[in-house]
Formats: sequence, structure tokens, C-alpha cells
Amino acid sequence: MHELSIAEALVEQIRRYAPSGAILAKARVEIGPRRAVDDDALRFAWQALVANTDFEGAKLEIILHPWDLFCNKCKRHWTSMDPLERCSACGSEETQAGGSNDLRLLSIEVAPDFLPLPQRL
Amino acid sequence: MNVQVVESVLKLNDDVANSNRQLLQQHGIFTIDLIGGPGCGKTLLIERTLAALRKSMRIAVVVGDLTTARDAERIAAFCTNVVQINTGKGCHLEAHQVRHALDKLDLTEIDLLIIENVGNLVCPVGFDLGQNAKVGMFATTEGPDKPAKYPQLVSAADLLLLNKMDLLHYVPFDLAQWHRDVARLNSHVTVVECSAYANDLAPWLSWLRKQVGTRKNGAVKRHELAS
Repeated sequence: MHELSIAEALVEQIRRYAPSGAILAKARVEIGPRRAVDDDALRFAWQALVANTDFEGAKLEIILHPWDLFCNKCKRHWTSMDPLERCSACGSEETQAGGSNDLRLLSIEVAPDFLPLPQRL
Repeated sequence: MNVQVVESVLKLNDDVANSNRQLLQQHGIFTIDLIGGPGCGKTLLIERTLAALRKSMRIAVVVGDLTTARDAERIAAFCTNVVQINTGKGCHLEAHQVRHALDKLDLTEIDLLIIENVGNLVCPVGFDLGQNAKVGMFATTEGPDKPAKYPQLVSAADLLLLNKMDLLHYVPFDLAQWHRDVARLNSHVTVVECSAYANDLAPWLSWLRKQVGTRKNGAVKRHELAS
């Protein structure tokens, strides 16, 4: 359940970027296929971590990138969530799987009605 | 309001890992992160490796487990430079834990650092520790489908070990299928069949000798500066 460590790092990271006092509406994250992160587990960990905090209710949008596949026989390129998928053109198992190893926070969205509160005197 | 970020979620871990890497590099230390499931033979491999290489190079071991110091105690019979990290309930090692372990070692007295990660084929894969090479370890007793089921480890590995080859004929294991899946997931990886139990480790030991030799020639070690 390393997704909990990742969710913790994500919350910390968002705090570094969110304007002070902002209400977080959404965070967008991308995960490359070579990164062993389960999106459901990450969502679960996120929800557990933000419950009863100022981030509660914020949406975590996860973009999961597929594997890049190449058929050594018919030289076709395609993408799939299954790294060992047969070539659907020639049926060959002589394929190569690759892709990115990224796990990145892309952007955050703070609530549209958010306005920084004036400093209390 | 939309705030663009585009930054690694594990940036803090990656920063510490890069600083570990730099520190290890400065001392001419070749470092491996050994990743494999529980019971695949990681600790026995380390014991046998120490027995075979300790006269020709100085080796330190950092070993991660949820709990107990049993691995460190086993390894201590072969090497004095061993640090046990107990992760509590953590399923993988992180760079800062390795950094604390490095603080307990005299880096001027080390040529090879072996980091034995927590027994797990998934979680450790994405956490950079500052290693030079990721070594993935499987065993014939686990069945031939493990590369297909854990593609990220195969894809990330610089070297893959298939251990317990001495048991190949006693377990259902399609060796050709195993190799085929590995090649489809990582065409560049070096694959070594071995048996730690039977001390059948020659290609693994020569790979280590080569890596450590290259490193030592490329870096000026502190003890050499002092002498």
C-alpha cells in the first residue's frame, strides 16, 4: 500500500503550491504505465487522508497513461493497458512494451469563488 | 483558479535520492537496490555474495524489513558493515531512510553497497534510493507468471535474477515463457539464472566485479587521497 506514502507526498506538495487559505477543488495527477501505482488505491488513500481536513471534498483526477507497444514482426505501434497484449494486426507475441515512468502533479484548481481573506486586524 | 504545477509527486524523495547518489558516487561506491518478493532468496544471495567477494572488495549492506533484525544478524556473520532499517508497517524503503543508514557507515571503507529492500514486488519499484542499479529477483518456486504479473519491476530493472534454478525440475515452471515475458517487457535487461543455495552464482558475481571495478577506476577514493 505504497499509495498511502504517495498520497501523503501529494497532499504536502499541494500545500506548497496552493495559495494560503485556498479551497482546493481538484488536483490533477498523471501516472505513467511503468510506475507501479494503482489508481483506485491512490484515490482511497487520498480520501482517507483529506477527510476532516480543509481538502475534504476535493476531487483527485488521475490520468492513467497506457503502455506503448511495438510489434517486432509487423512493426505496428499501438497503446494498451496490458503490456503483454498480442499484436492485434498479426497476432504475434513478439512485442515490446515501454512507456513513461512519470508520477506527476499536473495542476491544482482552487474553488472559483475563492478570494484570499483580508488579514484580520 | 487553475495553478499549473507539473512536478514529480515524489520530488522530495527524488531529491534525497539524488543527494544519496552524489554522496555514494563521491566515494566511488557502486550501489544496488535489490528488490524481490518475500522468500525469493535475497538474504541468502547476499550471504553467498559476501562469502565470495569479501576478500576482493569492501561491502556494506543496508537491509529493510518491517520488523526484526534477523536479516542483519544473518548478514553480520559475513560482514561488519550492516545496518538494519525497520520500516514498521512501511512496505518499501524510501531515500531518507537510506540516508540515515548511510550516516551510520564509514563510506570511505566501502566499494559495494547492497540495499536489500523490503520483500515486495510492487511498492519498492517507484522509490528511488540513490542506487546505481536496480536488481529484481524472482525464484522458480514462485511460478513462471511473475514477470507478467509484476511488469513494472521487470521494466525498471537493470538486472534480473532468476533464483532457485536448482529446484527447476521439482516445480511447475515454464522457463521459456518466463524469458519470453521478460524480453517483451524489457529488451535491455541483463538476465541471470542462479541458485544462491547451491552457490551457483558465477555470472552474478562477475557482473558485480565488473560494475565495482568500473566505479573504482573512475573515482578517487578518500583513503587513496589520505595515503
